[in-house]
Amino acid sequence: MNAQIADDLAAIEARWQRRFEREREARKAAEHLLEQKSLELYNSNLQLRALADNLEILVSQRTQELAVALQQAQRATAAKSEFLATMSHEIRTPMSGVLGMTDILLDTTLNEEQLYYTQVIKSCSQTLLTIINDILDFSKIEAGKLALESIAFNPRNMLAELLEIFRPQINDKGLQLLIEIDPKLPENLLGDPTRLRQIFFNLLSNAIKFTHQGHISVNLKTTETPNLISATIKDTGIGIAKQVQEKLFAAFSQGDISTTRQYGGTGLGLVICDRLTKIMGGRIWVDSESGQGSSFSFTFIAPQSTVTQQAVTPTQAATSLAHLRILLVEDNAINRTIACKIIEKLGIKPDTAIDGLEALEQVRQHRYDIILMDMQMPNMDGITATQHIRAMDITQPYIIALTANAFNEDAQACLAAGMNDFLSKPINLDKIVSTLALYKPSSS
Amino acid sequence: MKGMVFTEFLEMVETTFSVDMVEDILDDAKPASGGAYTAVGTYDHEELVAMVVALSQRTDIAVPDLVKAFGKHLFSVFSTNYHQFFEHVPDAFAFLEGIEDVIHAQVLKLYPDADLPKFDCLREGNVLHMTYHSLRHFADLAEGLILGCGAYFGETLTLEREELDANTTRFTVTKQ
Repeated sequence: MNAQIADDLAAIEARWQRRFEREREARKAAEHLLEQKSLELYNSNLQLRALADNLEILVSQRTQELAVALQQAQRATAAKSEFLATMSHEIRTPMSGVLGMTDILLDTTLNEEQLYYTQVIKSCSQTLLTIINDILDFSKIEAGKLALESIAFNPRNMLAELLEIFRPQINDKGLQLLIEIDPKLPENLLGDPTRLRQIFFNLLSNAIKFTHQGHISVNLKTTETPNLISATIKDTGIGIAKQVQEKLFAAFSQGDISTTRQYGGTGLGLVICDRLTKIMGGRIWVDSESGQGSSFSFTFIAPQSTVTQQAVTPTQAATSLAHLRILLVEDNAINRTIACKIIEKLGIKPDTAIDGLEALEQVRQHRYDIILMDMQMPNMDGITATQHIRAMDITQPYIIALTANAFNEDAQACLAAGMNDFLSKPINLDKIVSTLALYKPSSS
Repeated sequence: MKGMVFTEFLEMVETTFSVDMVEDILDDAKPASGGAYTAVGTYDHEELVAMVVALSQRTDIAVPDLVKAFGKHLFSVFSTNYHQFFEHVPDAFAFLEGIEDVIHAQVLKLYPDADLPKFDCLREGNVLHMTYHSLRHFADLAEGLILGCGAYFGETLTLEREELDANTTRFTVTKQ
């Protein structure tokens, strides 16, 4: 009996022992699981903190990288501008040689065949120069390097001169030309006549190019907005499809490929017009339908000017210039010859110098009214030579810079060095005459 | 299956029957894990099946009845331990409809690898169609839980069951 109780007790004890063991194991398992979870949490927290830290490092790294990239971009832009200026010079120098020599050649006795060939050379060179100028202009505008002039000009005269240029083409094609100018338009405006002329020139040459019959009309009028002038060039030409109109003012795109083939051009003309009108505080737009002609309109800000434009006609000037003593400083032999020939047409035989040093020597020995000074020359450049001349105790000559660089900074550098005026290449008779006409001798 | 189901089952057995009954069914079932269950662990659901079968044999109560009773018990445990899930829940149907989106979503936050059953709900007036889908075939447990839910909200729910396939059961729950 006692043994039975002892067995039962042992069995109960064994059960409780087992239960106790089980509970202990469960507790350990739970603790182990919790420890694991805690460790996971701890690691997650560490990772989060590292991530946050890394993020800050990454942000500061990126900021630095961006700063470097910005600097590089700025340097690249500066280099690009520098390249442009150089190319501008490099391209225009031989071009002025070709054009100038062609002009001189046309002045010689040529037989009919030779005359035709020479005229073709001239026409091709002028087209090439226009394209080069378009590309350089566009690059300048894109680089934000285009600075507008603000001078007095007569819009009626400007338009008349332009139409005179185009009249032969218009007549050749049998087109009619209608001009309408608002009587309220001021006699003289303040603005950049060169760039305005460029816009008109582009739109008119397009109108003529794409019109085969009918008429071209030019309308210039004031608007309700003070100082805002509006111009419209309308034609009865081939017109422009709607989907093409959107691309017209985008760089390097043309009406369409077949148009390119048929009509040629760089596709930059309208883009330049678009940018120029924007810089002038206006805009440009087109109304057209395929086959129904086109109407290009643009606006620009130009306040009325109280100053009158200085009108210079070559013949007037030519008669009054013959007495001038001129020194031409130019290192390039071709350019020197061309410039001499042009100046000789004014009845002046200029002295020449091939660099700044030689120019100083000539100035010491002779008295000159006017010096035409190239900018880039070996031994001594134009700017340095000018500074030396200005330091001399002599009757100071009127110094005009001659340069292939068409950029405004160059003009400023010239004026800062003490030059009186600025003439960009390729030079021709009209340019020299109108520049020389501004010369007023300080003492006669 | 989550450890809590195991610990709660053994507690129910202990309370309803005795400590000895717990030892007996553990002896009978011989679970591979050793039976040292903890609420935060995860165990093979077959161990629970084996223990229920053992309990049924020792008590002469049918397995489905045991499982349903356990379901009811489990629900009351849930409602005590996880009362935050019951705040702002107006009635049993609303709670049942939220199992998938609210409760299972929380479970998965703590136990990303938990293998949970699916409940698709469709309410039509005072009838809720619940489709239970699980590879573990615990439809009886689900039924007990649904009834426990009704009891918690003080509602009388009647239930009809339809086996759609081996792993899917549709409950049609009607609120009286």
